[in-house]
Amino acid sequence: MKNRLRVLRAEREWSQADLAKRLEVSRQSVNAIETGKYDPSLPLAFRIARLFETSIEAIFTDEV
Amino acid sequence: MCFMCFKPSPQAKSRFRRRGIPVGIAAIALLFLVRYYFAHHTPSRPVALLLASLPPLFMVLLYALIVQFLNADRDEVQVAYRRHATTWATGGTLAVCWLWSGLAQYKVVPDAPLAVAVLIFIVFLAIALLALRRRYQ
Repeated sequence: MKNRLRVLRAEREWSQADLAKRLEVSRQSVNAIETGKYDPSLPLAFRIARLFETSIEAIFTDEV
Repeated sequence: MCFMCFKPSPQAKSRFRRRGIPVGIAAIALLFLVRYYFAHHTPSRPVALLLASLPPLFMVLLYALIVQFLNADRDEVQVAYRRHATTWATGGTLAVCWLWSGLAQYKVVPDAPLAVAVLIFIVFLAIALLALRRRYQ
C-alpha cells in the first residue's frame, strides 16, 4: 500500500518525531508507515486522516 | 525498531506487577521444589502427575502474561513487531524442543531440564527481535 504521509508531513514542516508525538506512536512507527513497511490499522488510519483533515483514501492508496 | 519505545498503559503495568511477578516467582520456585520432592519422595501416580504438571503449567501461564504485557503497547507498530518476533521465537523453541525430545526418545541425547526451553525461547526472541528490526524500521 502506498501513502502520501511524507508529502503531507513535509507540507506542514513536521518532522517524523513531531508527527509521532501527535499520533502518540514512536518515530520508528511513523517511519515504518511512511516507507510502506507497515500498513496501519483502520483506527490508526482514521487518526492520521483526522490529523491531516482529509480522508483515508486521500492518504492511502492500494497501489503496490 | 526500539525495544525501549515500549509504552504500556498504566493498567497493563499494574496488571503485570500483580500477576506476572508472583507467577514468575512461583514458576521458578516450583521448578526447584518439584525436583527436590521427586528426589526425596515417591508419590502416588495421581500426585506425581499433578506435581509434575505444575512447573510447566506455571511457565505457560507466565509466557501468556508476558505476551499479554508486551502486546499492551499503545503503539500498534511496536505491537506488530513484537508479535512477529514472539511468533518466530515460539516456532523456534517448538522446533528445538521437538527435535530434542525426538532424539532423547531414542537416547541419542540426554534428557534436558524443563527450564532449558525458557532459555531457548529467550535466545530465539532476542534473535528474532534483532532480525526483524530492519523490516519494521
